[in-house]
Amino acid sequence: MKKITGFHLILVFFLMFELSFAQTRSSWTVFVPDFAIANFAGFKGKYAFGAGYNLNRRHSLQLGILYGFTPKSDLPDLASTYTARGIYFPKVYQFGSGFAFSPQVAVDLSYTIAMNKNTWISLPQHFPHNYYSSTAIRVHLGIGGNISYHTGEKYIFKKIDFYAETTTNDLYAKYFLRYRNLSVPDIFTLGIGMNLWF
Amino acid sequence: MRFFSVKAIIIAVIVLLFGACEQVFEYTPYSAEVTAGRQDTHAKNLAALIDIENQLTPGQSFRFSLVSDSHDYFNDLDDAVSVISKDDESLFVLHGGDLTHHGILMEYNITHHIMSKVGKPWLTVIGNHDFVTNGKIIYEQMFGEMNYTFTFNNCKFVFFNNNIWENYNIEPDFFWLEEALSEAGNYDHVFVIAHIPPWGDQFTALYEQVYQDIVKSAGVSLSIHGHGHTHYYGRKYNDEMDYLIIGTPYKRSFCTVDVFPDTVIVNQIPF
Repeated sequence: MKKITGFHLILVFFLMFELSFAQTRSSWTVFVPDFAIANFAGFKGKYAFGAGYNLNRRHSLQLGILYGFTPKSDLPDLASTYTARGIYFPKVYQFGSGFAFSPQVAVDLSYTIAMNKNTWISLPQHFPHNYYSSTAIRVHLGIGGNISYHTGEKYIFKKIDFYAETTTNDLYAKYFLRYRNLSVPDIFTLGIGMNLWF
Repeated sequence: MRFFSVKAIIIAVIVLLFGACEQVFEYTPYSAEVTAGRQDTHAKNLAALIDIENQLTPGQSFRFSLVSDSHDYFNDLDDAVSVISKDDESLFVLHGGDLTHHGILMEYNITHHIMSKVGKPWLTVIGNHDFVTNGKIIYEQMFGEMNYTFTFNNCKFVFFNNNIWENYNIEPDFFWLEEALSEAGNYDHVFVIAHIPPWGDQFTALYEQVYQDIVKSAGVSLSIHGHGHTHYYGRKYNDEMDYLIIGTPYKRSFCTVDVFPDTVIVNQIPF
């Protein structure tokens, strides 16, 4: 039996959070996403696609689950990146006709599968116990903004979001603390994407 | 307030999505794309070393410095490099491996940046941590072959990849090592630099014996290693072979080796 890792536990946590909100929905609609996600970069793979869920009535908390890939032309081995993210919108500013802007803060958990054998979630058996921690799991922090537009009920997608965020991860944050000549911009990267709401 | 049409915004975003300036966007921390300026570092430094060698008279004594196992203790490595850069007698620097902790490109880039500040040619041997994730690919792009040699002032330096667990449990190429040491008698001194000491955790008793036999038969003056973070210098096996474990900058020391035609003197330098 595979070891249950922190990644699995946090994914279960997010799903339980969603299920706790499911009282307003019928049982099967719980699993129907609220929006589709298309993402570029931001440590989620070159291209990532996935689905998202609202987690509360105020729509200030979202869960996103993405599959990303980085082709061989950009990496020596094709890499797949699975990301689970919790996104918080502290405030919404309405403007124009149907537009809204929200700052956003996101915490992501990512799991990368690469073709080399040295990117692992659990330590291979030939290593002594605790010789390395997981090399495939990363925690990310993203800060950005989201502009949404309500298209109206007559369109297939009732709302479109465009977002941009600057993201770092646990390793880069450690390097910032370990090297005095590293600046904050050095450890952050950009990611952009869109959400299409059903 | 006027806005562009929704269509125009969507088109603009799509254009931005696929035409964005790629260096601003990182796809994964496990990238292995070494920039051109950091590629082939060994070749560039070996070329610089030739110029330095040409300024020496044959048989002239010289000094080189050693650091190892810097991992992600970048400030400590930076401090060591700062001290070494001020030592005009030290002609080049060797890094004994574990230039990184996770084999991540950003770690390689930071270490490369720091080592380049030493103001002298610097060369490395790959360590076990340097293999993790895409580290092997990055190392080969950034530095070159993992097994290589060079000569300097009638001394031979042999860099040998003897990492096993992270190198997919592949046996070190002892045949290559034997061949590289086959003409050791033609030199005043031969130095072997290999990250794992023969008594290290990754070596079986057989590998330990094989390595000992090879370096002893060749009359290697000093077998230089990292991996163990505590400095050691001595005759580990109570024979005529000297072994050195360099230590690590985060324990605030590096080493120097002063080479004379008939002897070498090793010093541990605290900083």
